[in-house]
Amino acid sequence: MSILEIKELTVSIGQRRVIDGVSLDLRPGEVTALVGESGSGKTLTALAVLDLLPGSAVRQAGRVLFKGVDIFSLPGERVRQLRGNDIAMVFQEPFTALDPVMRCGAQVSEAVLAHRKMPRAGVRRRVSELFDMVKLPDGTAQSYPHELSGGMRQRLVLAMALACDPEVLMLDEPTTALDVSIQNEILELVMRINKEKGPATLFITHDFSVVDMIADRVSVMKNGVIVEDGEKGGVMTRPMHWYTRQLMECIPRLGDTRRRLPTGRT
Amino acid sequence: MMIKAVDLRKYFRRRGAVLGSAGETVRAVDGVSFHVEKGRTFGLVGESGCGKSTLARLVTGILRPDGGNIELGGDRDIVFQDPYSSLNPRMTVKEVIGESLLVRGAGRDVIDARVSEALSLVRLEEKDCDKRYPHQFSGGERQRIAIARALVRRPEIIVLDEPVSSLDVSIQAGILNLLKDLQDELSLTYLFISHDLRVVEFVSDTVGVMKDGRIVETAAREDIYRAPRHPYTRHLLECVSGKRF
Repeated sequence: MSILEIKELTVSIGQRRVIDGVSLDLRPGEVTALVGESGSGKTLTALAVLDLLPGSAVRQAGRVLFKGVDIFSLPGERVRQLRGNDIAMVFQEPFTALDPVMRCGAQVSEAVLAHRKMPRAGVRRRVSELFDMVKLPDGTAQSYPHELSGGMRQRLVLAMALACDPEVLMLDEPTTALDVSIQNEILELVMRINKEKGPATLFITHDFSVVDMIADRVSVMKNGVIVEDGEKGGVMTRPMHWYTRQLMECIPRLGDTRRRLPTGRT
Repeated sequence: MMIKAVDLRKYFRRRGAVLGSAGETVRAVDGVSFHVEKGRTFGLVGESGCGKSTLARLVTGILRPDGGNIELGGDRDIVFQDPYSSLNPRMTVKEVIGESLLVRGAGRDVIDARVSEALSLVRLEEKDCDKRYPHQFSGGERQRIAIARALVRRPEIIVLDEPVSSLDVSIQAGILNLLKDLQDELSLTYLFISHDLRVVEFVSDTVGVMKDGRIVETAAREDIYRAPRHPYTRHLLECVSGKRF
C-alpha cells in the first residue's frame, strides 16, 4: 500500500518539460532510489512533492497523493502542516540547511516545536532521543554547526528531518559530499531508520553503487522522464534501458580490468 | 624518475585563542616520500583533511615545504577539483588557457598555436571557445578547459587534485578516458589525488594511502587492492559501498 503516489506529473520551466509524466510510489519501510544525473529533474520531483517548486516552474499536469489526498488541492496552511511533519526532506549540502548562529540542539528543538506543542522538559527529552537515534553525542547540542564535521552535520539535519516522525522521508544526495567511510555510516543509519521507524524513503542519487547498498526499488530518470523502474535486483541484474546500463557501467569498480569506461550517447 | 619526494613536510600554525598567542601546529604533510616514473600515475588516496591537497600544492610549487625536498624531472602544472571556481569567469576560454603563456611573455602567434593544440588535445572545438566564457560550458567541458590550461605549456608532469569528484558519473568516465589517452599520447606523468578508491584503482600504476599527513602504505595497484597490509587501507576498502562495484 503506497503512502505517497506521484501520478503522471508534468512540470515545465519556460518551454522545457523538466518533469515529464513522472509516476512514483513510495511505500512504508521501503527505500526507493531515484537515480539520474544533474539536470535530470530528480530534485525538482522531490520539491514538487513538498509543493516547493521554484516560481519559474509551472505544473502542467499530474497529482501527488499523500494517503490518497492530492497535495495540490490542499490549502496552503494544510500543506505547511504536512511539510516537515508528515513529509520531511534532507538536502545535499547540510551546511547551507543549518543556521550558523544557532546551537545545534536549538535547531532540532525548533524542528520539534514547529509542529508539536510540548512542555520544555518534553522537548529536551525528544531532542536527546533524536540525537541518540542519529548517534550524535549529547554534547553536540551545545555546539554550533561550523564546529561539526561534514558527517556530523548530515546527522544533525537527519535528526531535524526525523523530529516529527515523518511518514515520508526524502533525501537528496545526502552522502555525495562526504568521505567514503562517513558515507557508509550515513547510509547504514538511513537504512536502519527505514527498517525501524518505517518512513517511506525516497533516496536521490546519481551513484549506482549507493543504490546497490541502500535501495529496495529503483527509478532511473533522464531528461525529466523515468526511463526504467522496478525492484533493485531486477533493474541491476537485467537493466532494460541503455541509460540504466550506462549509469551502472560508467563507474569504475574495484578490480576493474577495463581499459576504458563507456561514455554512452549522452 | 619524474617526481621524487623525500621526507616532505608542511606545517601550519592555527591561530591561538588570544590575539598574538601561538596556536597549535597542524602537521598537514608530515614526512612524505614517494617517487613516480615517467609516463606513470601515482594515485594518492585519503579522506578529507589527510593532507593530500597540501601535498598537491607542494608538488606544484604553490606552497614551499618546511622540510624535506622534491626533485622534478620536468615542468609541471595542476588541475583542481572544481572547474567552476578554478576558471576566471571574466576571461574567454581561450584567454583562460593562454594566460600562463602570456604572463611568461610569449608572443600572440605562439599563444594562438599552443591554445589550439591544447584544445584539440582535450577534444574541444576551437570555434566554440573563441568568444565564449567558462559559464557557458557544462561541468565536464569546464574540466576539459582546465586540463587544456594545464597542458598549454607542454608540461611533463600533471598534478590532478580530485579532478572528477564534482562531476556526474558519465562525465567522470569521459574525463578518466581522456586522461588515459593524453598520458598515452604525451607520456605524461600524473600525481592523481582522490578520495574515491575505485577511481584511483582505475587510473593508477602505484597507489599511496594517506592519513594524518603521512603515507601509511604504498604499493603497486594490484597489491594494494588485493592484499592491503595497513589496517587503514583495509578499512577504506571495506567502506566502498555496493560490493558489486
